[in-house]
Amino acid sequence: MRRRPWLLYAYALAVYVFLFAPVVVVVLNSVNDNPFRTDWQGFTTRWYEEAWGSDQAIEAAKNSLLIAGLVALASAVLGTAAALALARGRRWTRGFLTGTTYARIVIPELVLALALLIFFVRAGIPRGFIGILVGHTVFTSAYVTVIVTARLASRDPATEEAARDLGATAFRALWRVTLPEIMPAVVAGALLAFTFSLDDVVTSYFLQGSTNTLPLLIFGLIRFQVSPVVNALGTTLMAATAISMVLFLILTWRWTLGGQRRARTLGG
Amino acid sequence: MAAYSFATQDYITGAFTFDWTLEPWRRLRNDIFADALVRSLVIATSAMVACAIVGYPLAYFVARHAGRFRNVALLLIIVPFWLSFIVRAFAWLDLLSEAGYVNRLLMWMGLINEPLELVNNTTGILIGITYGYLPLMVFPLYVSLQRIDERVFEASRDLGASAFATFRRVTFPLALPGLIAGCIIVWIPALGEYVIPQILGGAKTYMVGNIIAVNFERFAWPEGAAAALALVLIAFAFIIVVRLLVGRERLGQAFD
Repeated sequence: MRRRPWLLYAYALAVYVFLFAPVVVVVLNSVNDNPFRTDWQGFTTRWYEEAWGSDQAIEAAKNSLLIAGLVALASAVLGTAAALALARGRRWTRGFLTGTTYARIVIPELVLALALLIFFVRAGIPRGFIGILVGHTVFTSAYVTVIVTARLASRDPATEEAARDLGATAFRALWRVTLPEIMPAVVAGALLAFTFSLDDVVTSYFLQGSTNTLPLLIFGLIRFQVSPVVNALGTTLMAATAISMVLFLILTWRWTLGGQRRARTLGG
Repeated sequence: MAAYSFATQDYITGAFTFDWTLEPWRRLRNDIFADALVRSLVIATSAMVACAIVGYPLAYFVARHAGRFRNVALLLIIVPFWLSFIVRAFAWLDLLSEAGYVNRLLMWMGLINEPLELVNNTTGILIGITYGYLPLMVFPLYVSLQRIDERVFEASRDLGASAFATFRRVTFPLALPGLIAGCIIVWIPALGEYVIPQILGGAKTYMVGNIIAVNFERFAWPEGAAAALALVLIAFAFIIVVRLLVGRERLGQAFD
């Protein structure tokens, strides 16, 4: 019987406390009737009223959600296309695609955001909604490519060949065989793109024009007047993220279960 | 992609003239930039080490001791990150302030007599970055540690190795690819961090990211671009150094 490493358990617990401390503080202070956020002074909902009472916040939230949704869609399509090209391409195509994909992940976001700013100005693309949309997609599609590439590498290429041998066109083989196989990876990548876009400050900040998103609104609040309104906005946003994540987990769980059941029926 | 490759060329001359002058670079050779660069290097390196020290035991715990709660333990690492990045940085501002909970806890424990200055300086930025980038270190480490066959540990114990010797000779070398990947994906973004120093660094503590941003905000694009290019060059230099240190093969393994 192995000795239990209590020290390790205590250390891990301490790290979890470190991870959750800010979350607890934000949630508590969002309902704390103390504008200086140092002590507990009773329950209030006034920060929420102040936060969501303004049209500005509603407008920013709408922009954020719309941009995040479109970014997820665009990243899924572009990122998957790049991953498919990566899997099939010749050596130099592969090298080029791998290089540009990892470069977009590894280069500090600020540098890429400013590179885009210069590019947009020179190319005459207006900043604002479209600018933020393109800016986010440049990053997030790289993550989709990485995730889908990993999935493509682990699947059996024989199924697609079998489809072609059975007379399917290249497009049909892709649509009916390959895409369903990599779909979980595409969805996971799109979800990552969605959360990244929803949370982004740096790229949005430099490409915003006159469009406001929620993180930009919060960034502005922190810079000019520190108040618990930030906590209220943050808590609402976290609740929204948590709910959509749980929904997603339940959906994928049922999806994979359903898939297994279908496979059993077909096999038996 | 195209935007990226074109924009690198645009860096040096900005949108103004293509006379390939070194003037913006010369203007960067001042104390403020040097100061910010040194601070960025120190912060990125310390944050990388701190992430490794804080993250390794956590990754080890989740990979080898969490048992059937492994997935829950992993999920619990991600959950705090559902809270917006910027709101988390703001929470640290409250936690670390003079009357904040961290100082009060330390004083209550009798470790300090006066509140420490934990925020609006380099310490604040370092804590913020370590916190924000921890998962980037934990996940690659977790993947490496979780791949190790349990029998390897048993063999090491059976051959009479102490716990420390097992760590040094067995676990650590096998976890190295994860550690290398973690170090790279923590160090490089940390070097170019902009938002965290903006919030937790106060008015006077700049990192390179802030210098770049300030230059762009006041339309001194060539200087800003030169600073940004310097940042990218340093990032590439870092990867080359890592590659020299650990060899090409291990670097490849790290991103397997």
